[in-house]
Formats: sequence, C-alpha cells, structure tokens
Amino acid sequence: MTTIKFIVFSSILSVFLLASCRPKPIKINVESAPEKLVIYTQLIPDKSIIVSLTHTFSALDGFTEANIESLLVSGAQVQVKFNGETFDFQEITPGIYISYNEAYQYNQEYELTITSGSEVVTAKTIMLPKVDFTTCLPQVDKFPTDTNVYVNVAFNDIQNINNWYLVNVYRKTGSYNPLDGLNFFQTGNNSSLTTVLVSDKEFNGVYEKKIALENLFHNDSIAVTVSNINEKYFDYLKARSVGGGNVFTQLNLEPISYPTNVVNGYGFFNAHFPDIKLFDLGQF
Amino acid sequence: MKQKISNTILFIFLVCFSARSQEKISISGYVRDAKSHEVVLFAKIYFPELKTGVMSNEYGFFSIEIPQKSDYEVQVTSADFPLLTDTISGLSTQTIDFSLGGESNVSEIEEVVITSKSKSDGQENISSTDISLVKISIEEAKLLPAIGGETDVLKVAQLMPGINRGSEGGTNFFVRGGDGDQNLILVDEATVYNPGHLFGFFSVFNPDVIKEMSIYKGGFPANYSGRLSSITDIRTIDGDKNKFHATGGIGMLSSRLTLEGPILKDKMSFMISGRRSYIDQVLKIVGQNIPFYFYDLNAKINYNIGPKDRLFISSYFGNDVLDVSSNEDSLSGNFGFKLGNFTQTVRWTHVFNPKLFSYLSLIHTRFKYDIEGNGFGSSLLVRSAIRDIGLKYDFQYFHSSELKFLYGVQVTNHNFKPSVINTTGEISDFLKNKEAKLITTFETNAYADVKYDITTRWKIQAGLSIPTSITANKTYFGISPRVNTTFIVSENQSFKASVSRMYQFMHRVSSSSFALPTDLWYPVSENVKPQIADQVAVSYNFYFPRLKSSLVIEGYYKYMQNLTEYKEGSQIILNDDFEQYLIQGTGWASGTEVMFRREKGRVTGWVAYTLSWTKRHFDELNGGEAFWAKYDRRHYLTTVAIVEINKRLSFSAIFELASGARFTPIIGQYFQPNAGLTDVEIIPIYSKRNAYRLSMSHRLDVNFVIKSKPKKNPRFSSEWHIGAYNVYNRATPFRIKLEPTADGKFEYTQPGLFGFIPSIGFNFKF
Repeated sequence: MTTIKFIVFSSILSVFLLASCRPKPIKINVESAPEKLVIYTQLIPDKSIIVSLTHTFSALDGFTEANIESLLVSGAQVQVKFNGETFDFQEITPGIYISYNEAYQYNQEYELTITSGSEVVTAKTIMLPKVDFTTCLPQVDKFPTDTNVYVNVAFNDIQNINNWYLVNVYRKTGSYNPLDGLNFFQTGNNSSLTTVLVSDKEFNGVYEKKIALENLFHNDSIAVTVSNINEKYFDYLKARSVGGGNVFTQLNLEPISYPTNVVNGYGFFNAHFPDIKLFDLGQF
Repeated sequence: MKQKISNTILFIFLVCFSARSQEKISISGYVRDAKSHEVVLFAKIYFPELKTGVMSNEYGFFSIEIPQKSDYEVQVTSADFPLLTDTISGLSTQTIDFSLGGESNVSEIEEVVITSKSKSDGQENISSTDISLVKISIEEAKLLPAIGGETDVLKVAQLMPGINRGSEGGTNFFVRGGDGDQNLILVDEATVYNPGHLFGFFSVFNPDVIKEMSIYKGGFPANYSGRLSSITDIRTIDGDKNKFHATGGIGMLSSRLTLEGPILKDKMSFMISGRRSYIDQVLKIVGQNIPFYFYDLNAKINYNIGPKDRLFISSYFGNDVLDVSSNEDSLSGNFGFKLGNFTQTVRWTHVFNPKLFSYLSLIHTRFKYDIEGNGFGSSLLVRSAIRDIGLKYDFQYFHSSELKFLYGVQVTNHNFKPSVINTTGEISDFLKNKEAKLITTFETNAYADVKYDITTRWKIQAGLSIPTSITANKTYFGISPRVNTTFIVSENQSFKASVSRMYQFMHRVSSSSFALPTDLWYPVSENVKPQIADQVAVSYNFYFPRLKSSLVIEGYYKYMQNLTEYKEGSQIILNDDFEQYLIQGTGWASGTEVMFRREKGRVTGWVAYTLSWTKRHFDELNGGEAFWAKYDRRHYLTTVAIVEINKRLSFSAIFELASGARFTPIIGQYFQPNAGLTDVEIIPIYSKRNAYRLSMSHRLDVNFVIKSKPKKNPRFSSEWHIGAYNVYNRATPFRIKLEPTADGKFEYTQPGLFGFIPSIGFNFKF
C-alpha cells in the first residue's frame, strides 16, 4: 500500500512539475533570403502573353492573401524575345503586364527578360503544342439518396516528344470565366474540384480516365481542361501535391525545393494553353 | 613489398613452429563469479613470471599455453572484482575454473591472496588491440541521473566521445558522422531493430538484466558485420546458479522486477525480468486518458550440460501499446498501435579441446508494428514486419598466449513485409488497400580473424570478412578487411591504429529523427546498393597510475558510399512503393575524440569531447552540392562525475554541452497560383540544405543515491534515487518554430522538449 501511495504521489507531483517547468524557447536569428522577383505567366496563342510580377517576402513578415497586392511590382521593364525580335510589355494594372502579338505560335522558343531596379530575371520556355480532348463527357448516376458524378476524359499523346499533362476540373459558380488569366489573382467565382497530373510515360498513346467528382449537385456547371505543360512545371505541381498534402505527408519533415524555370527569381514562365470543355450537369 | 609480406608470413610460421617445439602445457577453463557462479567476461589471467597472460572470452572461457613447470603464480583480474592471486601446478595440461570475489575453488590451491584492486578498463586498454571501443559499466550507469529516474544504457552511451545523440532525450544515436540506421544493436547476438520505447525516449534495455555492454565505433573485429558505424553488443546476465535473488525498482514512469536463481544447483539457472510503464495509469489519476504504455520481458536459461558444454536460451519480448479504444469519451473513433521486438537466441558452447572453443547460435528476431483505427465509417489497418532467422557458428582457437584465431560463418534469412494497408470507408479514397509482397533475402558472412603479439610491444589483430546478400534478382558480396595494431610504448602508454571496411545490406526507411512507429527496414535490391564505409582511426592512450585515470585521444576519417536518402517531396509514410523515392549518395566524416576517465576511487567519471565534421553528397539534393549532415555537431562535450560521499550516499552529475543539430529553415516565401488557377498558394523558399544550426545547448542533471543501512537485513538491500534532469531548466532546442510577435509579424524560436524534471526511485535487491 505504501508503495502504491508512493507511486501515485510521485507521479502526480511529476506531472505537475513537468507542466510547470517547460523551458523558455530560445530565440534564433534566421536571415531572410534577399528579395527576388516572382513571375507567373499565361499565354493565349495568336493573341497575348500576360505576366504577373510580384516579389518574395520574408517568412517573418506575416503576409497573407489579404495583402498580396502590396507585393505586386510596378514599373518593371518586361520584354519577350523570339525569332530574333524583342517586344515590350505594357503594364495594365500594377504588377500585371501584357504583350499582344499575333505571332505567338506553338513550338516556338520565347525568352522573357524582366528588369526592375537592379534586379534582372530571365526565363526561357517553348510554347507547347495544344492537346485536345478526344473524349470529355460527364456521367451522372442518380440514386434515390445520392448522385454520383464522373467525367470521362481521353486524349491522344502528342507523339515523338516527351509530354506532361495537366487535367483540371472546375465547378463553375458564376458567369465569370475561370480561365480568364487577366484576373487570376481575383478569382472566387469558381472552385477547383480535382487536378490530375500525368506523364506520357504512364500511358501508351491514349490517355483515358474516369474521374470521380465530389461536392457537386446535379444542376451544377463544370469546366474541364487539359493542358500540355512543361516538365519543370509538372514537377512543381507534383511537389506541391505532396508538400501541401495530408496529415501523413506533414510528418515528412524534409524541405522541398520547388522547381522554377526562372533564373535569378522564382515562379514560372509558362506557355501552355488548355483545351476547355464546359458542361451543364442538368443536361446529363 | 612482396618480399616484406612473405618475410612476415615466414616469421609468423616460425614463431608458431618454435612455440610448438617446446615442452608446453595448456591451462584452460572458465572465470566465474564466486557468489553467483556466473561466468566473468573479459577477465585477465596473467602469469607474472612469464609476463604473459590471456583474457577470458565473451563466455568467460580462457585458454593459454605455458612452459611446463612445477608451480606458477597466476593473477586473475576483472574490473568489477578484487585481484585474485593463486598458485597452480604447471606440470600437465589441465582445466581450471577461477572464482572471483570469494575463495578460489581451484583444486591445487596453495595460497589465495587478495592483494589489491584489479586493473581498470583504462589500464587494460593500453595493451589491448581494441580501438574505438567503448565499454559501458552497468553499475556506473545505474548511479547516473536520467529522465524520470529511468536508467538508460543507450543514453549513457551518448555521453561517450564519438556517439552523438539525436533529439533531446531520445535513444537514437549517431556514431562518427554516420546515420541513425548504421548502428547494429545485438542482445545475446540477436538484432534489436527498434531499440526505443515511447517514440524512442526510453531504450528497450532493462538495466537490471545487462551484464556487459560494448560499443565498437571502429576497429571492428571481423566477426561483426552488417552496419557501417557501430556495433553494440549487449550480453544479459545468466542467472545465479547458487542462490535465488530478486532485483527490482519502482520509478515514476515504470517499475521492474528481475528474478534469478538455480533450477539445478550449480548446473542450471534461470533469469526472468519484466518492466512496465504506468504513464497511462498516472495520467488517469489526474483526469487525462492517454492509454499508452510499454512493457518488456527478458528471460534466460543457462545450463551446464557438462564440463565442455553449456547451453543458453534467452529471449526478449517488448511492446509499445497505444489503445484509444478504451477511451469512452472519445468522439473521434478508436485508434491504436502496437509495435515491438521479439528475439530468441539458443546458444551452445562447446570446448573441443583446451585450445578450441566454439559457440553455435540459432537466432530469431522479429520487429513489427500494427496501426489500427476506425471511426466515422472508416477503418484503417497498417502493418509492417521484419523477421530474421539466423545460424551462427564461431570458433576460437587459442594457439598460444601470443596467437589466437577466430573464425566462423553466419547465415541469416531476412523476411520483410514492408507495408500492408487495409482501409474501408472514406479513408480508402486517399489511402488505398495494399498487400505488400514478402521480400526475402539471405545474408551470409564468413570471417577469419587473428590476434597476434608480434613482440611484447607490438600487437596486431587482422581479419577478413566476406559478407554476402542474396536478393531475388541480384547477389551482392563484399570483401571487408579489418586491421588493428597496437604499439606499446611503456606500461602506461600506447599508440593504436585501425583500418576497416564495413558493408550494410539493410536501410531504415524513416522520415524523421524520431523513432516513429512507421519506420521500417528495407533490404538491398537490384536498384538499391549496399552501403559501404571505409574508416581509418588512430589513437594515443595514456594511463596515469597516480590518478588512476586514463586518457585516450583518437582521430578518425570515414568515407561512406551508397548512403540512402529520399528524393525531395517523397511520400514514404504508409507507402510500400518507396523504392522509387530512394536515392543514393556519399558521405564523409572526420573528427577527434578525447576521453579522460577515472574508473577507480571515490570520485569517478569522465570528460569526453568530440570535435567532428560530417557531410553528405547526393546528386539529386541541394542542387548537387555537398551539404552538412543533420547531426553534424561540431562540438560535443560531456562531463560525468560520480562521488562516493560515504558508504551509503553517493552523488552524480552530468553536464552536456553540444552544438545544435542542423536544419533547413524557410527563409522566404512567394505567392503562386494553384494548379487550377482558382486560388493562390504561399510557396516556401528554403535555405541550402542543413545550412543553419540550432543554438548550442547545455544541461546539468544530478542524482543522489542513498543506500539502506547495511546491517539492518543482510539479505535485503535497497537504495533511493533522488535526482533532477535539466536542473536550471534551459531549453535544448530540437526544432524551430514561428511565433507571432506584438507587431503582427513573426520570429523564429527554438523550443526544448524537457525542462526541469525531478525524479525519485526506489531499487531493491534480496
């Protein structure tokens, strides 16, 4: 009995002492990385290239999406070079630059140069050929208590080169076009339902998939897109799908260096354009 | 060069031949503890007149060849016993058992004189060929402060030079710049794959059952193989053949009880020991329901079949259990896991003749974990297991006091079931059912090792090991030479050097420095090559007779190939297809270790300092640039003092000063649209891999041991342990954390795991 009392007493004492004696954390100075330019681009063949320009910020600054506008970089010189010619971009709103040109064509290499103060970033990319759906059809299975929604997609691999594909499915919640790149920082009218990343090494010639969709009503509208993206952007999106993943992946403590094709900066100079299909599920 | 080698070989044979040609007799037998009749390992049997001696092996057996003569004085010494001086007849070959710590049972006794304390390990170390060897004194370890008063031999090992701890309070350790999976831990020759309880905060080794613990950091004898950086060889007690004993302890976190005694007096003994934590029961008292506990059980039977044969059967069984199903208030469903080791060793030792000793071991070991959960219409079962069955046959041939051969073979069948996942319900949408295939490999090792005293001052131990791993599609084999040499400058001074190559055919798949239940072992395959390490070490050894202290200064360089890491962004947890994520690279480590140790006297202890560097290089990581290893601790200083204040009271203290572990912080961020361009995400920018270091840590722990009055009950003795961990409550940083500041921004801080923790414990023996 004395032994039991001893155990109970000492253990309760230790629990309280443990709770009360947590050592004070020690401060540590971690130097922030020098501020660099961050780009993101969208391209509309035969029409325009849009560049959004922001800068990096310290992990200690406490930035959120709410004050993202303060990161936009105005007054930069943005140029694109192809076929031996250089074209200037116009700044249409702070941090958003656009270049209209009917000569923006597939399979052509583009070099982007951005100068802001003393900073110069460059990036090269090739406008990848567009891939089109051979099949893109929603399937709505209605049951008394539930409705299952799928979208059946298929497309042919572009032969003779390595390709990486991005399939997105959106729930369209308003009249706003979710793919209007001019305002991609101000979205909110649509929500992404699912993203599929697939390399042509994973299938043989024809990609076919039945994609299950959740959180949909039978009268919703959806948009389905497929893009032929470059390898680095594919790797980036893959890494993001892991790095921002579920509780199990959070236990993986090793850092991820996200890929970029920008020299001396971050982000992506993308030159892909999607095939887009829009559906009203009420018709299925 | 060839001429020199042939001359040396010729010299060896001439010495062997000349030794045979003289009138010589063999003296062989066992060294035992007079009270318990347990064998005494590594005792020295010394003939002063001949200035020669021999050491008992890991089974207490010795054999020595000496010139025929009527009488010899012989001295038998071991660190834990007083020196025994006997006179024996040297007329004929004979078998003699020496008993230490009591009256000798040598039949030819003419005189038994206890003259002085025996030599310490530090003194013995001067003339031995062992280098980079750390011996843990269990009696000393039991006096030292520990978290919650739980004596932990692996944490004592972390106080030795060259053995860095991982996170604070953990049993994970890193030897000479190696990785955490490069340490082989053997208990009675069986591999223990997971040496930690409670996510690695407590080791699975019950201190009451350990007889001997040695850690090789380099200079590996050829009979050891399988890991690159260290071999920890733990031998458990055999059980008292003479009297029944009980030993136990009641602590704040767990209690333990060991029973030992004769089954057949002087012929057969048993030992059984159990330990269980009661953190769950304690927390229940204060209203917290965390049904987590661990337990372990050691058992051993030791049978003297005859004068030439002995049989040991030993087993270890332990589990960590979390069972939230008993939590009736839980709204989040049931969850639990169970993980643990299970080992058995059956060993038969046989003396073929006074010069040839053998031991045959049949070894089984299993490590497995089960994670189970259900709730909200989903259920999850994750299971992983590794099971080894091995056979080992070793021989020791005692040719003469100058020449000893060791040779043997080992075959181990590894069976891996890396990951079985069964899910039902919604969870199965993102965690699919998987039945991992059974992976079977065979690992073999054939070795030969020779210990030879070339002159009275120059000794050499040279060996060759040929490890092999046979997998489904590929067979790997290696040639693993080991050479240790000692040059004795004087009785108290020597220089040593060693070179060794080690192979490792298994890798631990772990994403964390903590021992997570999801850690698992994975063998070499067609794509995953064996890890290889080449190590060179040199040491200077000095013994101060007046101070009864030893000084060892050791330098090393280690080059490692085919180290394993994971590609950035790998999802390896609960993933049985992780081989695609494994990448291999190189690493190197160098350092200097200084150890000043006093083993005898009222004040004992040591000061150990390590200055080290260790780097890694993987083409796929850090932009292909070499980077510092996570536990590249530049400075590591430990000071341990044990003061015997009087016969009943002793005080001990540990002070540790260590450079922080390395980490890769987020040094910037930027916004990018998500894949669907419907939202923006914050993307972290990391520094170069492991470019930053946590702050240097220091900590003081103290402990008092108060023994019961010796005359109260001669059969019963007890002691109280009253101590404190982290006396001045300073954080030992283990990670960094972003904390908000008053101006709406953030700052990095480094929290510590454990603050001031008092402890009290009660140990008894009868």
